[in-house]
This record gives sequence, structure tokens and C-alpha cells, in this order.
Amino acid sequence: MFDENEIVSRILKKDLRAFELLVKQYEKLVFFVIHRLVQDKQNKEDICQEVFIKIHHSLPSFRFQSKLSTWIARVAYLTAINYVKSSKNKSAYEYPENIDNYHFTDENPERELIKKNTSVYVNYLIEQMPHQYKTVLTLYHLNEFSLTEIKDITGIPEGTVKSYLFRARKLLKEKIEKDLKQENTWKS
Amino acid sequence: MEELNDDELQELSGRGPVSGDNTFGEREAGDLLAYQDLFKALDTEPVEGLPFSFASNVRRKVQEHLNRKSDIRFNILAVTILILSAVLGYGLLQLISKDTAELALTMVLKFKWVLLSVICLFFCLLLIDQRLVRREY
Repeated sequence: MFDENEIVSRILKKDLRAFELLVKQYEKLVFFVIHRLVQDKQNKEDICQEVFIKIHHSLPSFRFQSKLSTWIARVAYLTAINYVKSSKNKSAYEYPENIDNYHFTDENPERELIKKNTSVYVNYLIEQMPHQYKTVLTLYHLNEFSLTEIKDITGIPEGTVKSYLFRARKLLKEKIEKDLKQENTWKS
Repeated sequence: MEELNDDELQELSGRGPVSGDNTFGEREAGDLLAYQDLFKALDTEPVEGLPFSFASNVRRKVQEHLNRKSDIRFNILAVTILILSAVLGYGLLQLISKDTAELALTMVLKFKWVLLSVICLFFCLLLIDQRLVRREY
């Protein structure tokens, strides 16, 4: 059983085996956040490493005011956001200033290939969404954080998190429904 | 016909399948099924992941970082000890015999480039050793 208090105190006593256990425990959490927010496939592993090095460096300042997982997710989120901001010009997609006005763009042939697998298609659609939507979808569905924890991780007010989550899911659902309807029309 | 509101969606995400649920109309039931499919897709973990050796790679990086820090600390300490020993030695010589102290200082000044070269060579070897020799973790 993973006891975060014990692991943290061992790491603070310079036990690197304990740190390796912590990395094993939270590598998925960090990867999910980085994977969704960072487009650059090459650098994902390096950014995950950077997150854990930051965690090792900042662990003495962790005061157990939140769950360790929430704190780690915050470090991962902030690292990913910094990376996204620094490579903003390279982004393949453009977003309106007010993301409430965001809509998916029209069809392209590449999408037809992905549509065959709903999960892959959903990930493809999420990739195009603004980072606020990506973040709340990932933290809520993949990492299973509560709305309050997402507020603590991202600093976005809880009501806004709720509305982003609702709108992101609605956009995805409508897009998938529309695409499936179109596909059925073409088939018949 | 009303769309599903946020609370209903939250309830759905927490509750799971709703087969046989009579609370909603036909349209809402269709929406629920669509959302259930979407939630299933959203809950699916990405196919790609981190390599199996990721944790040990991170540990190695952290160890290297710690070693570098301790090397820098050691080098600063070595320089400080060297300077302090020279000053202390000269001070002691001044107390014992002023002539010997002056002679020592003259010798040091005379061979300053040789001494500086030896000291630089020593620190270069130390740095090369610290950078090139891989440690076993």
C-alpha cells in the first residue's frame, strides 16, 4: 500500500528509491496531463521528466495542505501550460478570444479515417480544443479528480470548471452525433 | 424538449448505465446513450504511454543533479581551504620568523605562474574526473 506521508518523509531524507516509487505511482497522472496539453510528441517524455525533477526539488515546501496527487497534478499542469505558452506560435489550431464561442471546424479527409474508432476520434477532437477544455476533461475523466480538486489544480473557479466540462462534453457529443448521422446518410 | 442539464450529466457520469430509466423522454434517453458512449471514450486511457524504465530514468537524472550540486559544493570548499591554508601558513610564518615569511612570499611571487598552473591543472583534473567518470547508482 502506498503511504504518501511515509514516502515523502523518506524522500526528504534523500532516499531515491522512495522517489522512484513516487514516480511509478504518479507517472500515469502526469503523463495524462502532459499528453493532452502538449501537442509535441517528441518532447512529452522530457516534459514528464522535468515535472518529476521539479517535484523532487519542491517537495520540501509541500505541507500536506492538499492531497499529494492534487499537488503533483498542479505541478504537471503548470509545466504543461508554460510549455504550451512558450510554443504558442507553433500551435496548429486557432481559438476565439472567448472560448465559449469555440466550435469544431468543418470536415477534413483525415477525420474520416479516425472516425472508425470512437475513442481515437474523441481524442482527435479533444486535441483541437482550447487547453481549458482539454484540462478539465482530462483531470475529470482520466485522472478522476473532483471539481474542487480541479479548481485547486488549475486555479479556475469551480463554477467555471463545471461550465467548461459541460460545454466541452456537449461539443464533443454534438460533433460525434452529427458525424455519425452524416456517415449513416452516406451509407444509405 | 429540454436538453440534459449539467447536474443530470454529472449524475450520469457517476451513476453509469441507465437502461430502463423512465425518468427521461425519448430524446433525453438518446442523449443519455450518446453521453454514455462519450464518457466511455473519455475514460479510455491513451494507447501511448511512458517507457517502462521511466521511473529509473528520472531517478538517475535526479541523482546526477544531486551529484553535480555536491561536486560544485566540494570544489568551492576545496578552493576556500586552499586559500585559507596559504593565508594561515603565511601568517604563522610571520609570527615565527619574519625573514622566512618574506622569503616564502618572494618565492611564491617568483614562481607564481608555475604555482597557478599547478593549481589550475589540479582543478581541471578534478572537473574532468567529475564530468567523465560515470557513477554506479
